[in-house]
Amino acid sequence: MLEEEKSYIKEAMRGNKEAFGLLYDHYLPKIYRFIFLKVTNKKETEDLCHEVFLSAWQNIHNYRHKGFPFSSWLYQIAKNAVIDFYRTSKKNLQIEMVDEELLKFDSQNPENLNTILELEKVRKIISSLKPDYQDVLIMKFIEDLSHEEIAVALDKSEGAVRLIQYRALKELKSIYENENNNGGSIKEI
Amino acid sequence: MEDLLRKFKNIEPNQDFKAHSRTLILNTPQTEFHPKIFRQFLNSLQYGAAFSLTAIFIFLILGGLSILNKKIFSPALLSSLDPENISAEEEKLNIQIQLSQAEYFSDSAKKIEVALRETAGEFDKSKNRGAELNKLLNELTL
Repeated sequence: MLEEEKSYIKEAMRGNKEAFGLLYDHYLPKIYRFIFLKVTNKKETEDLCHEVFLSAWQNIHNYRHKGFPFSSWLYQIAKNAVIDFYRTSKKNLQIEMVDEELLKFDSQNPENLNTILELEKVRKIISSLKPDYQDVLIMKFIEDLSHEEIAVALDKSEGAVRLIQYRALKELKSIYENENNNGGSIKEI
Repeated sequence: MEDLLRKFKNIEPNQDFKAHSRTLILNTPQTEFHPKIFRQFLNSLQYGAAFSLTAIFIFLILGGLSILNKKIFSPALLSSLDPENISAEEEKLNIQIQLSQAEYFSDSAKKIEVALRETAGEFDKSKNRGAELNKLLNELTL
């Protein structure tokens, strides 16, 4: 969370482009990861990310600070954008391989290559989970949001978020272990 | 598994995309900004509209519709409940009663007159008879 987030938001609400630019720089990677892990396609992720921040910029005067970070509001917009995307898009998206450029790993290193393959496998499993499970796993373990923040972003109670987290992690591990037992090519975590 | 998930933090958007998207977004005008006072005014309008609709609804339930019904839809249905019609009917009734009373009184007066005349005629006859009887008694006694 930005230290001066509140003042940037206030300025952005008044139409200050620079202030919104700072918010954009800070939150783009988080929202990008959130969408990428749900959509699993780089081009669609970029389009949706652009759509999310454009919507945030145009409607920032509707934002109400309720003691939670600005990211909760952005995640809400992103979540709705992904839902709309799957509702309106009838085409079957190809799940792309995770680009090493995106992951910032050197694929020449064999250890890194193994990690990339493992991540690819986990990403495919995540994309096959229920949308709620995906949201909670991404927000909790990748973006390190608190249960309270996740509850606000997903409009659920904290208890419900904890329960979803438990079930999602359990299901993810179960599928991952099954695939490892069947394939056996990836080392056990 | 949690550690593996955390490795996804390394995913970063493409820098060209980031710069291009940022420029496009910041050059797009924001939607119309409604100041607080204007927003409150809009909210009050919404409440006002809700109250007026409720008032109209209550008015219609409590009889407003019957006026429309009387004037437009079915005047015959509610004519018997109209106070003007009722008072007009009452006045007509009074006049009819008075006329029938006058007729009755005029008829009965004639009948009484005839009866009195008949009675008076009989009284004259009996008076004459009395005089005749007196005359006959006087002849007998004298």
